[in-house]
Amino acid sequence: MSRTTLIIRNDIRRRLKAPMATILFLVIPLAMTALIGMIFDPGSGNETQLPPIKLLLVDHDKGLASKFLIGAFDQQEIKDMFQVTLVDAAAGEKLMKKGKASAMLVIPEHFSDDLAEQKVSALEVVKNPSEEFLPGVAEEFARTMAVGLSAIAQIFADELKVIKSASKLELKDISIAQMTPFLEMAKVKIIALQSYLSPLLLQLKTSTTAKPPKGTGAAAQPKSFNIFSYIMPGMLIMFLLFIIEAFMREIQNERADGKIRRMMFSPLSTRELIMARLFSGWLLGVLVCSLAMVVGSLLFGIDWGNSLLVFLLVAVSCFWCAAFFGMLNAFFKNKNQAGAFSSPIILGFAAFGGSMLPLEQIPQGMRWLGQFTVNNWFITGCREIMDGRIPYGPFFVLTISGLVFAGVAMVALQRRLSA
Amino acid sequence: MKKIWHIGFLDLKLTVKDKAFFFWMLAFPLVFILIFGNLFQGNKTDAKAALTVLNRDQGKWGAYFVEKLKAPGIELAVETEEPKEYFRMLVIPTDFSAKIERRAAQTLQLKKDSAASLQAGAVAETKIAQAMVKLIAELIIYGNQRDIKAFFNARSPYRDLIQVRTRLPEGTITKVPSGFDHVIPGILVQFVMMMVLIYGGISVMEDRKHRVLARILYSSASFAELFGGKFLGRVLMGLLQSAILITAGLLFFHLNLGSIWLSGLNILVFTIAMAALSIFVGSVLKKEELIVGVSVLTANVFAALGGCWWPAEIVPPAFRALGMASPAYWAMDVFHQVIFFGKGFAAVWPNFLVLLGFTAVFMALALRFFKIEE
Repeated sequence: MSRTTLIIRNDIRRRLKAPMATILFLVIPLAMTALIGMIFDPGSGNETQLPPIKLLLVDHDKGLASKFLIGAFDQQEIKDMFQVTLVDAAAGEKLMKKGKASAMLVIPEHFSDDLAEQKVSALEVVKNPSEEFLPGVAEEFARTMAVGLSAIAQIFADELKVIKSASKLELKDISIAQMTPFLEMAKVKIIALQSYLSPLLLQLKTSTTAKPPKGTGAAAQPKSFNIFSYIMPGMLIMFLLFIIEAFMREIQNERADGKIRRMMFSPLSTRELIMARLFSGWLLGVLVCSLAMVVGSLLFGIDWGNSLLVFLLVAVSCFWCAAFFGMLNAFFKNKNQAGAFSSPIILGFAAFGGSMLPLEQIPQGMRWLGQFTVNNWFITGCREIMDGRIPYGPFFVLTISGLVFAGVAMVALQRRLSA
Repeated sequence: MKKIWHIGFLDLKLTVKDKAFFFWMLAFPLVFILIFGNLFQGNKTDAKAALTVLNRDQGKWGAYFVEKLKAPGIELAVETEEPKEYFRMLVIPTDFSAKIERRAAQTLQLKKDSAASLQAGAVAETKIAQAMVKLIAELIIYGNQRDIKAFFNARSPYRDLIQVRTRLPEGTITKVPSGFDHVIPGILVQFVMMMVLIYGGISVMEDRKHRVLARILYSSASFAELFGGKFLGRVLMGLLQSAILITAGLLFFHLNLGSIWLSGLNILVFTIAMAALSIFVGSVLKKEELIVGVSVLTANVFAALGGCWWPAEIVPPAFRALGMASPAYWAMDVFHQVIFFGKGFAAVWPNFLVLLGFTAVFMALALRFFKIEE
C-alpha cells in the first residue's frame, strides 16, 4: 500500500472515530430543507397556498350593493382564500389595532344609493402594518370587486334607480304593472349578457416557462415541482463547505502540535502528504454529499436526475472545496486565523451563491458576485441535471478553477510545511 | 459585583479582539439586511410588476385593451415581436379584434418566467383580470344592437364608480413600513442568537479546557461570581451586537424602532435568555465544531420558526403555533407590537414573562451542567 493511501485511510478512519461533527453538519441541511420545505410546500397543485386571509368587513350601508359585495365572499373559491368576519366599525378598528386581522374592508354609508345614482363612492381598506403580503392581496381583491361592481352598476343603471325608488315605498304602494317594463328591460340585458359571459368573452390562461438552455431556442419543459429539490442543493453545498473546511483545517492543528514535522522524518514527501490531504478532503465530501443525496431522495422524494452526472458534479464540487480550503490554509498562519476567516467566507458564499435564498431572488448586483462561488455553480448544476440537461458550464468552471486552486495549494503548502 | 463586571468585561474585550469580530458583528448582518431588505422592497427590475404585452392584433382593439391595462403598480412594455427576455408576457393574438367584433370568446395567453417574482406576477394577473372586466363591461354597456365599429367614436362608457382607499389602523404608525423595517428586527434577533451561542459557547468550552475557569477560582472570586461574570460577558456580547445593528439601521436604513426603551428592554430580556443557553451549550459540548454546528442549527431553527426569516402571516397555522416554542417568536412579537402598532408595556409584558420563563429553564440547565474542569 502506498504512503499516500495509508494517510488517506488514516484520515478517514480518524473522522469515523469521532463522527459527531460530520453527522451534525449532515443533519443540518436535511433539517433545514425539511423545515422550509414543509412550510412552503405548494402541494399537488404546484401553486403556493397562502393561509386564509383574515378579513374584517364593516357594512355601513346595509343596502343591496353591500349585500351583493358581502355575498361574493360566500363563493367557495373566495371562501377558501378569505376568512371573513362581519364586525361593527368600533370593534373592527380595535381588532385592527391589535393586529388580529390582515385587513378590514369598510363599505361606506349610502354605498347602494350612490351606485344607483351613478355617483362615485369609495371602499376603504385598512391594512395591518405588521404584515407584508396579505393586506396587499386583500387590497387587490377589493380593487377587482370595485371594477366588477362598477360595471354591474353601469349596465343595470336604469334598473337600480327603479329598485332604489321602490325600496322607499311600502309594499302596498308598489304597482306590478309599473314595474313590468323595467323587469322586461332587465331580462333583455341579462339575455344579452349571456353572449359575453357564457362562455366568458375574454379568458386568461397562464403558463410558466423556465429560461431556455443556452444555445437552444426552446424553453425547458416544466416538470412537476418538488420544493425540497429546490431547497436542498443550496443547503447541501453550504454545509459541505463547513465539513470540508473543518477537515482541511486539520493541517493547521497538525502543524501546531508537531505531527507534520514528525511525519517528515519518515520517507514521506510533502507533496505526497498534501496530495493525500486534498484527496481525503475530496473523498470525505463525496461520501457525505452522496449520503445526504440518498437521504434526500428517500425522505423528500427528490429526483436528482442522471446518477452519473450527479456523481460527476458532486466530485468536481468536492474537489473544488478541498482545493480551495487547501489553498487558504497555505496562507493562514494558524488555526485561529483559519477559523476566523473560513466561516465568514463560507457564509458569504452561501449568501451570494444562492444557498440562503433562491438565486433569482437575489438583487441583480449581488447576483453577479454569486458567479464567483461554488454554491452558485453547484445549485445551477443540480437544477440542470434535474431538468435533464448536462451542466457543461458548472463542470467547466468548477474543474478549471479547482485545478488552479489545487496547483496553488500544492506549491504554497509545500513551502509552508517545509518552512 | 465588581468581580462579576471584571470577568464579564474581559470576555467582551477578548471577543472584540477576535479577527472575525468585525465580520460577524457588522459586515455579515449588513449583507443580510441588504439582501433581504431589498428582497422585500421588491427586485428593482421587477418591482412594479413588469408586464410585456406582445400585441399581434391587426385591429384597433388590441391597442385599446393595452390602454385598459395601464394602472398604478404595473410597468408595461408593448412589443410587436416576441422579446428574448421577459418576466411575464401577455400575448394578444392576431385575431383579437376580429373576435371581439364577432363577440366570440377567446383566451389570452400569459407566459411567466419561472424565475420572476411571484408577488409581482400576482399583481400583474390581477391587473389583467381588472382590464378584462372593464373591457367586457364597456362592450355590454355599449350594447349588442349598435354598430361595434362605431365604438371608438363614442366616449368610453365605463367609469370607475367605486374607488378603493387604503389606510393603516388609527393610533398605529402613520408611514407605510419599508422592507428594512420588517427585516432588521428579524436579522437582529437571529444574529444575537448566533453570535451569543457560538462565541459564548466556544469561550466557555475553551476556558474550561485550558483551565482558565479553574485559575479564576484560585483568585478571590467565588463560583457564583465566576458564573455571573461569564453570564454577564455573554449578555454584553448580545447587547453590543444589537447596538451595532441598531445604529447601522438608524443611520443607513432609517429604521423605525417605535419606543426605543421598550425595544431595548426586549433586546435585553432576549439576550439574557440566549446568554444562559450559550453557557449550557458550552458546558455540555466539548468540541468547537460541535458547538458551531449545534448553535447554527438551534439559531436557524429558532429564527425560522420565530418569524425572523419570512413574514409570519404566510406560514401555515400549525407552524405558527409551533413557533411559540422559539424564544425568537416572543421577541419578534414584541418588536411587531412596538414598531408597527405603537404599543406600550401593558401590551407586551406577557411576552417578557415568557422570555424570562425561557431564561429560567436555560439558566437551570446552565447551572446544572456548568463545570470548572473537564
